[in-house]
Amino acid sequence: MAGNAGFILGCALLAAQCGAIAYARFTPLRYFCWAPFDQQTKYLIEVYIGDEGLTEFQIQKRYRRPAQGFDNRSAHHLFDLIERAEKKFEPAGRSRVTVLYSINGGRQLTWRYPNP
Amino acid sequence: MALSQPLTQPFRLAGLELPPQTVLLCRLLALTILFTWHPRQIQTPFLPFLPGLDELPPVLFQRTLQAALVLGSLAILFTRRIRLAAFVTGSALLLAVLSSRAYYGNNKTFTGLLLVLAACADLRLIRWQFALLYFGAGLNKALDPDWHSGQFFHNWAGARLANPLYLWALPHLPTLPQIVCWSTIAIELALVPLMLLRRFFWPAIWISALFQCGLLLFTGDTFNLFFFASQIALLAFVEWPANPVTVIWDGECGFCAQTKGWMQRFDWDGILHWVPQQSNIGDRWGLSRATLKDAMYSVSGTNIRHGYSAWRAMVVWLPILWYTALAAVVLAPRPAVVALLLFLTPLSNPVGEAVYRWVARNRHRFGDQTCALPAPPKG
Repeated sequence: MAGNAGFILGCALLAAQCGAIAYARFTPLRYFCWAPFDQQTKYLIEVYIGDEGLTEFQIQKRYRRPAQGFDNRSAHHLFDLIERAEKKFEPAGRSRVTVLYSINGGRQLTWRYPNP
Repeated sequence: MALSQPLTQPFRLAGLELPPQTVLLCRLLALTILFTWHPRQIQTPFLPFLPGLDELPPVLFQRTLQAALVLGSLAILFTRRIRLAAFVTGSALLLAVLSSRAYYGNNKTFTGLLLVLAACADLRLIRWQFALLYFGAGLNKALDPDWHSGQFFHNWAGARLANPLYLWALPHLPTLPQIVCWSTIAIELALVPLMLLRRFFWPAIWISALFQCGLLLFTGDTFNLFFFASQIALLAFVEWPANPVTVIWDGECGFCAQTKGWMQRFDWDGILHWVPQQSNIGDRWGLSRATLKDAMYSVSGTNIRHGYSAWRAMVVWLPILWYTALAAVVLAPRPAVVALLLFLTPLSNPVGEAVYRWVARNRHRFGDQTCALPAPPKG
């Protein structure tokens, strides 16, 4: 990689991050904007496919994260992941997901998929 | 990637296609990847950020990235094609991040970017990257109400970590959560200009290093690769000595000769230039023979140090110290960081100087060869 090409590539990578930092001001998602450990989310996920509830093991396998625990980033990363997973794995729309969560020790909130 | 052109001296930093501190940065990141055995964390694609990556054969994709990480890291350590190796290793990490929302993490992204930017062969890019990281982190906290009120830290330290130090201090200082949150925001945002202006590089290095070490000591967690990457990236702010560090030693002392030989064994780049005091080199800096008899001196640029400080200033330029420190932090993060902080800060000066003086006074007793230093009078 020639010197100039390397510098341009490096600047492009930095510019993309500047864009991500600016974009994060308009969305609750915090991908690629350097916001690690800025939020602690305690959560519990419940999933039903039709009338059948999934076990904790099945939930872990489905989302690649524990059915309950803590998340160190924006809670919306969790919702984003669940929503994308359901659209991919259950396109027929038979799944119903409930996430009970609280941010930074605040009051308990509920998030549902499909969104009401 | 071909592992061609192996190094005859694999630990050398100088004479490669990147500046010495960039080579050391890449080597330490490569060792971090290997010591923590990070490749095992690489996943098959899962809800990727880049569409289409989950259409690829998942296990082949995973194994290819793992192989690229391992081979790339080894190539950084043992070949001359260090730029290519850093680019491949960093790209593999970034591709792994982009391929899976479950694997995504700031620590992996930062490490991957550091390696790719190192391959770009311009240290400014790494400095700008670090400043950008602190800017993003500080800005996000500064706009979060839970950071204004201290609720984030109160919940994290109290409920989540149940940190005994925090739980003990809180009743004595109820505003502690707000103080910590606002201090964090202030430090992160203050580091941005410090990291961009050359004259503030040393404050930036110390503030960032102490901030991250404090976080590790408080939590006991390296946050996967983040602690390592954040400390290693500070090398981009270090000015590597343009000329060797002159070490003035007692050429008539057998023990000193043995010490010199031992240190030269690890000085793979010849960064230490040993000159016996008997050559009258001390005259250049106004150091008399009598002064030089008491302690070893090191001269780097305009910095003249003696005794324990001189020894420490020599050792920090030897990569073996940092390779060893890295391994120690992987094995036992808290004790290793405490030991490193003690060593690198003036906190160790009283003990270090005392030990140095005792060894210097008694150096005629050590070693196989005769020392010209007369034995101290008895009684």
